[in-house]
This record gives sequence, structure tokens and C-alpha cells, in this order.
Amino acid sequence: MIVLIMAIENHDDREKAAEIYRLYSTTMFKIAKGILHDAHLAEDAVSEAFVRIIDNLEKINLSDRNKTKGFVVVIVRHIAIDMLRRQKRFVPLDDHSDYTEYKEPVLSGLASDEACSGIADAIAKLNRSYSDILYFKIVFNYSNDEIAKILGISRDNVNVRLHRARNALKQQLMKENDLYDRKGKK
Amino acid sequence: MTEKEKNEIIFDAMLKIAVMEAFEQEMSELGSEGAEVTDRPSPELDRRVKRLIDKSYMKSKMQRYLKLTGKIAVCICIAFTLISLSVRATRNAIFNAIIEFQEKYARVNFGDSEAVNDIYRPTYLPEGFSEISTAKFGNTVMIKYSKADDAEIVLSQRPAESGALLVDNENTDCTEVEVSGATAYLFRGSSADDTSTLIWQANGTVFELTSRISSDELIKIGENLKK
Repeated sequence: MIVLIMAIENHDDREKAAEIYRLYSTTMFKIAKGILHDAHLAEDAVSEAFVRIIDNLEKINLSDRNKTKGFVVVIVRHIAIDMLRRQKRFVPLDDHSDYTEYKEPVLSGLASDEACSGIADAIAKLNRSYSDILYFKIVFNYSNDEIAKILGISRDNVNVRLHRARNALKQQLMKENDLYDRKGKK
Repeated sequence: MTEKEKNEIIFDAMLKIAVMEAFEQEMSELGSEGAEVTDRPSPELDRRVKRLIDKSYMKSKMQRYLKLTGKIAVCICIAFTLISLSVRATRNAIFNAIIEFQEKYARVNFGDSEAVNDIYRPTYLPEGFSEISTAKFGNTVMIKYSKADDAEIVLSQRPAESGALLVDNENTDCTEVEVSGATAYLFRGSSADDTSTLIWQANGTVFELTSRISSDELIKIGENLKK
């Protein structure tokens, strides 16, 4: 009986992994191909992403389709970007480590809903490595250790990326505020 | 609170809402799962991922099995010790037990029962299979055989007195077969994708063979084991 119970438990995991592949393989492939511009490399990225997904199956709740999709998308995108970087065909991420805080608030004079939309638009324009880490931290509510394990990077690297993502976002917002002001003055 | 601190708190609060908004937006732009897509991965990727899933399934099954047998062995050993020894001797035996907790299982060694000197290996293997690894977990020795298409056969063996045989004789999914004159229990996989497991005891050793190959082949391997 014990053997059978174990088999059922494992069988559920296997079914879950197969279902994730059935539902999202095309999306994952499309994202990887969009980054790598090569079908074979894109398939390698999807396959590598699946190893990570299998290792983190307990984090996936198939009934929440949006989060499941987000989870697999972030993983495959991270792997594809990493593959591109390894091939040295990739322009390194913008370094926002030397970013200095401005005294002026980046969202001054805006209503809260307007400000939220402004930030959401700015996130969409961010480097994907930055937006993805923000997704994991805020939408999925993962700790830095969990993010490090899922993405296969160090905890320090997670801290640095989160810090840079915030800074990059602020810079993006300031850029847009300047543009907004200039348009307003015309 | 300074103006700067206040701004940071407001920014963080808005960031949370905005990140969720951006996430929802991006996911909806990616389209639904059922949407028609022209650019699909090749069937080769389907096969690759299926192999990955199967491999992981088999690995986790073995790990869970070993973990469970380890725990049951500990319980049986402790129960026997409690029954057969005096209070003082029991206390000594427990204190002398060496408990090694490892990543995926717990190993408990009493005295020098750890040694497994002789390992059985099959003299017959289906075509294309060769040995890829031998690992020792406590008293259990696990040998893996693989062939080019990633199919695997796992043979594990341990001294019969050191563990528990996890077989439910009343279970209808389990059939009794004969391996070299000994009664064996065959858990036959329900489809070609499921693994079958053959468990039997011979010469003071418990053997377990697990693979997706046919049950007849499993029995044939079991009948051709030698030290």
C-alpha cells in the first residue's frame, strides 16, 4: 500500500509537469525564440527551463493560470537571456549601481492612479531581467532565497538586481516626467 | 519622518500596485493557452521534455522509496532492540547508534552492519543497456543501467535482515511471479510510460528492479544475477 501511495504522489507531479508543458510550451518557445532568434537554441532554453520547473513544481498552482504562465515565462526568459549573454552577443544590462537619489520625488504632482499607471508603463519598458525580478518579489511574494534558487543565481545577485530594478524604474519615471513637463510647456 | 522617507514609502506602495498591474497586462498580452499559434516547438522538444519528466519521476520515486525504507528500517530495528534487550542494554544500543542524516534520506547504522561486501550484477541486460552508476545508500546498493534513448533500469539490493519489504500481498495491482525459484512481487506499470517494479528476496538479499522495459525482461534480468 505504501508503495502505491508513493506512486500516486509521484504520478500527480508527473501529470502536473506534463500539463504545464502542454499548456505553455508554445508560449515558452515563442519567448525564447524572440530573444535568441534561433529555433534550436530556443528549444534548448525551453528544455533547460523545464528542468528548473520540475525542480520547483511545488511552487506551481495550476488552478491559477496567470501566475503559472508568469512563472514559466520568467524562468524561460531568464534562461534565454543568460544563454545570449554566454554567447557574448548581448549588450550587458544598464548599470544603475551608481545611480544617486534625487531629492525631488519622482511622482510629484500626479494623482495616485495616474502615478500607478505611470509606474506600470515604466515597468513594461524596463529591461526584462529587472521586471522579472520585480514580478517574483512582488506578485509571487518570494523571498530573495527562493528567487535565487529558482533562477539559479546567488542571493547577493538577487539583492543587486532588485536594487538596480528600483533605480532603473526611477530613472525611467524621471525621463518620462521630463518629457511630460516639456510637452506641457509647449 | 523626512520628506524623502515619506516619498520612498509612497513610491514602494505604488510600486506594488504597478508591478501587479504590469504583470497582469503582460500576461494578457501573451494570449490565452488555447489561442492559435503558428510558431510551435518541434516534436523533438516534446520528446526531450517527456524524457526529462520521466527521468525526474523515476528519480524522485527512488528517493522517496529509499527514504521510506530507511525510516521503516529504523523503526523495526528500534522495536526489535526494545523487545530483545534489557533496559540498560537498550539505552546503550540507542546511544551507540550512529545516525547520519543526509540530504534525501536518513541512515542509521547499528554496529558494523553498514558493510555490503558483495554486489550482485546482472549477467543479462536487454540490448543497448550498460551500467552508468553505482551508488550506496546505507545498506542499499543502487546500480543504474541506461541506453541511448535515456531508458533506464535501476537495480537496488540490500541485506534482507536490515530492511522491510514494502509489498502489500493483498493488493490487486501486484502479481506474484517466480524469479529463480523464489517468489517475487511484480508491480506492473499500467502503460508503456509507467515503470514496473519487481521485488524479491534470495540468498539473504532483497532485490528490487525498476524500469519501463517489459515485465518479461525485468524477470529475465532478475533470473540472471551473479556476484
